[in-house]
Amino acid sequence: MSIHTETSPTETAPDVSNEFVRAEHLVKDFGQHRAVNDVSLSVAKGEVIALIGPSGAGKSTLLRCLNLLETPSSGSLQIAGERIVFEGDNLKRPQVLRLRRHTGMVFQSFNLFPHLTAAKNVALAQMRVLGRSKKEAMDRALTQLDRVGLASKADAYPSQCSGGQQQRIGIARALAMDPDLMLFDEPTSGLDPEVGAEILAVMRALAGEGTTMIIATHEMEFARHVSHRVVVMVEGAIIEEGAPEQVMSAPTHERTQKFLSAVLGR
Amino acid sequence: MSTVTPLSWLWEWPHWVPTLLPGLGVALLLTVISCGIGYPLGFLLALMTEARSKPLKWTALVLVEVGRGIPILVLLFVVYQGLPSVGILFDALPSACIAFVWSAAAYSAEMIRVSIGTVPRGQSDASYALSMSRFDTYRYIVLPQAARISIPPLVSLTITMFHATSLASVITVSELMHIAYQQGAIYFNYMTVFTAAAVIYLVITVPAAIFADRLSKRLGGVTSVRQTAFRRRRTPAPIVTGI
Ligand SMILES: Nc1ncnc2c1ncn2[C@@H]1O[C@H](COP(=O)(O)OP(=O)(O)OP(=O)(O)O)[C@@H](O)[C@H]1O
Ligand SMILES: [Mg+2]
Repeated sequence: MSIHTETSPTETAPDVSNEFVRAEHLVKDFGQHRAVNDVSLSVAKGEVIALIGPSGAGKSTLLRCLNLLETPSSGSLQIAGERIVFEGDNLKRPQVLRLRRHTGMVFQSFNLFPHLTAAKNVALAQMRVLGRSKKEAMDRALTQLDRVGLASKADAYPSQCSGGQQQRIGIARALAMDPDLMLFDEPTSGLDPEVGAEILAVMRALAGEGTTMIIATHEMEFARHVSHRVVVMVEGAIIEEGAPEQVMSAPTHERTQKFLSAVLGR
Repeated sequence: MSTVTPLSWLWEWPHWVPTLLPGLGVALLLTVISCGIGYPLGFLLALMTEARSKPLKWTALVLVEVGRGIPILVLLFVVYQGLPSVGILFDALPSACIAFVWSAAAYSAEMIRVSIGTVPRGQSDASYALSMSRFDTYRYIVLPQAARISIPPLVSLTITMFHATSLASVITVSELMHIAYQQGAIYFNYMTVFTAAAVIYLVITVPAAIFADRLSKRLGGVTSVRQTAFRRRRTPAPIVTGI
């Protein structure tokens, strides 16, 4: 049950013909400001994508468009065969919920529910959304907490947990909904490096199990070693994407080179 | 009752307590009615001010702003003496109830609205990201957190409403102050009777204020724990139980 294994996901490369997510020409405007600019991206089942780019590039906004926390201004999005075309105010609640059901999200600031214990944090949506009984939901919550190494914290409130523990609870909470696609928005940037490493280990294990993931991150080493593909975003647009080695060692775009030399300090 | 000397009120006020007690009963009744009905209405008004439907939102905003903007004394006169001139007639006690319920609803609506607003956006984001419905997000995530924040101000408001019931004396509701004033006028011993009234108010409000303070500290603990969750504190926060 433990996921602290050391499989390299790149050994088990996903079948890229097996497209699972397809975003086409996604645009998100906040008033005058275009946060996501004509982004097209497809993700295969089991693929791990690292989304990198400078602050304000639109990484968070793109992730939030993928689970419809933000409604894209235009473009289309297809996940697991469900497709939505965005034009004006055409979005229907049931459509949103159906599409969102495939996704799970992990936040930079954890966003655990402070008035609920760790186990209830993980169990609540299972009961309300999936209709699982309280017993089943709590059982599964414990399983998920165990999976991230936190079974002992089941009855603790978030405030009684360290940042790293809170983030692991956040991961367990998302996993308990059996998502097909996990979205991580800088899951380690609020943590000390060594605590962040625990989170990265959990994510590495998930990748090893074939979980489809899109990870906005500033952890270049992690992106290089765990992801199948690195996607570089600048000013709302994807300017470059490719295998980690290729993007990191031999970036073709000048803006990518500038960004990488800034974060890697070389 | 006895000869009036400058200081006799100091020891004579206890004699008046039994006479005033029925008035305290009325004051408490008014408080219970105004808060018992007013707060649930305030909750509804708070939800309505957040509604996406424009008519709902504006109705609520007008009710809240008028209720808060007009002094309770004026509300009392409007309901008791103003409305009869347009053909709507209430007795004194129902008039007072209407004015106080409106006032309690308006003030509590604002407190509840603010409390809901202080629940961080990330909380509803996380809930929606788990595919929870809007209703469940409110019911299980936002409102429980807002409730903790709004309880201390609502307890204070209850004490304020209890004080405000004394205003009902001006429209002849025989609550504590009304009886005190009548007795004072009959025996011309205002200082003695008002002292008795003041002591009765204090006996209720001082313990209530201490309770409110404790509650606010205790819930304040929860609130700060809530915030530390977002500041990612690494040392364990104090254990919080109950409420
Ligand atoms: N709700 C919003 N309203 C208005 N502007 C927004 C909103 N959310 C994001 N933006 C803007 O969109 C742009 C992209 O922001 P976003 O948070 O997606 O960037 P990011 O790549 O995640 O940056 P970081 O690395 O700092 O997290 C920024 O200029 C930001 O100010
Ligand atoms: Mg971001």
